[in-house]
Amino acid sequence: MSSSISENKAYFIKALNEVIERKTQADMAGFEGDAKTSIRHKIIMKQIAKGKCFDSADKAAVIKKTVLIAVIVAMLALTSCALAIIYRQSIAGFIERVYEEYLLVSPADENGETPEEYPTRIEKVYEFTYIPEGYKLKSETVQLFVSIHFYENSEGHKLVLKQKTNETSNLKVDINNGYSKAFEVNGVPVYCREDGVYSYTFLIVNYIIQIQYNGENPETEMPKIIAAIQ
Amino acid sequence: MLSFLLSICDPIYHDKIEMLVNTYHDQMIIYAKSILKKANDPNYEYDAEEVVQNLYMRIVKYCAGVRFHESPAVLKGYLKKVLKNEAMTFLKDMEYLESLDDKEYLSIDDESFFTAVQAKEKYNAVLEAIDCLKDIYSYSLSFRYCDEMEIPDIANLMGVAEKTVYTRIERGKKLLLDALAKEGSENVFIYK
Repeated sequence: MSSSISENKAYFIKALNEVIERKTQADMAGFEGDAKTSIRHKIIMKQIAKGKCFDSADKAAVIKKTVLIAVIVAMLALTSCALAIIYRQSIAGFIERVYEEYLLVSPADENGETPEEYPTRIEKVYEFTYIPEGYKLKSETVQLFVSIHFYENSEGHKLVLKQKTNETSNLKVDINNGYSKAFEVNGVPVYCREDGVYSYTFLIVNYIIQIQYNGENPETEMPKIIAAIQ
Repeated sequence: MLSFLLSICDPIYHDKIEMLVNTYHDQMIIYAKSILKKANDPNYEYDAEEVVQNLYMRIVKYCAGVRFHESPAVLKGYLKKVLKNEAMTFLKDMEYLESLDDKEYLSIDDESFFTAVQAKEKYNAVLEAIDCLKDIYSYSLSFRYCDEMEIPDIANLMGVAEKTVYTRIERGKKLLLDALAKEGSENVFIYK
């Protein structure tokens, strides 16, 4: 019985298809438009058969385009996020090292602990007036007792200027952790520690200045950089 | 609805058809409802959609003769005139379809319908009967049975209510069986 029904249905569908096709061809024969019409018609008919029709053919195209753009935007966003995370991690790692270095030279009380507050505030922010070619300022932070200027070049080399208030005009340098006097600039001793990154520490008035640098030619560049700090 | 109309329309008139549907559709629906309501059509809400689609089908078929270049007022007047004719034709068709209902053509299930068509031995007679159907009926039947689309999808495609699609398929089947019956064959129909 079921095959009979199937045959009956096939018989009707065959006839219906034949008439529709004939009507369509007859209608299109009078078209003045180009031959794409019949192709378009077939495409729409295929969409219909697949149940992929929308209120308008253009709407379907728009939806397809929108989905494609959304996928591309999502991929770009994910890539940007990944790059940002990698970049932040690299900066965070570097700042962390800067901070560790900074602790080594920060003023300590009698018990060897760093006081939480300092009696004076930063009244003058020192900045580089000379930096090696290619370095650009990436971030600048000025707070009550500390200021940080962060530079970077296209090769990823970093240059950091950190300024911190100091309650005395003495600089305590942890010589046991590798600091040694490197050179003098205008009679001011500059201490240096090298651990993949060069850390230079010295005093200007009552401020501790610390410079981190992992670029090229630190021996020749650093005296010029420090001498030009104003 | 627009995709369906454009699929059967000469591409050089696509812009004009889009403009026409976008600009006058709502006004034509209101006008069709008022005509059908005055004619005491109990289903005027749904039938108005059908009448307006008949209007579009006619315009699509005879694009070359439509005065798209006329002023909006003239074009609207022309559309209303054609719509009124379509509504009158529709009401006449309805009378005929109601007479078919009197012949107990109501609720013919698919199985009985296919069996009835198959029983017609002359294949050409079946083709002729289908050919005589109005486009909205033959397309609706084609979408439903040839392309195996669901009713909501057909409604979405043609831009009409699902009830209208059901009605078209039912009417298409009734009209087809009636045409085959008139062709002279006996014991063709199996009624539920």
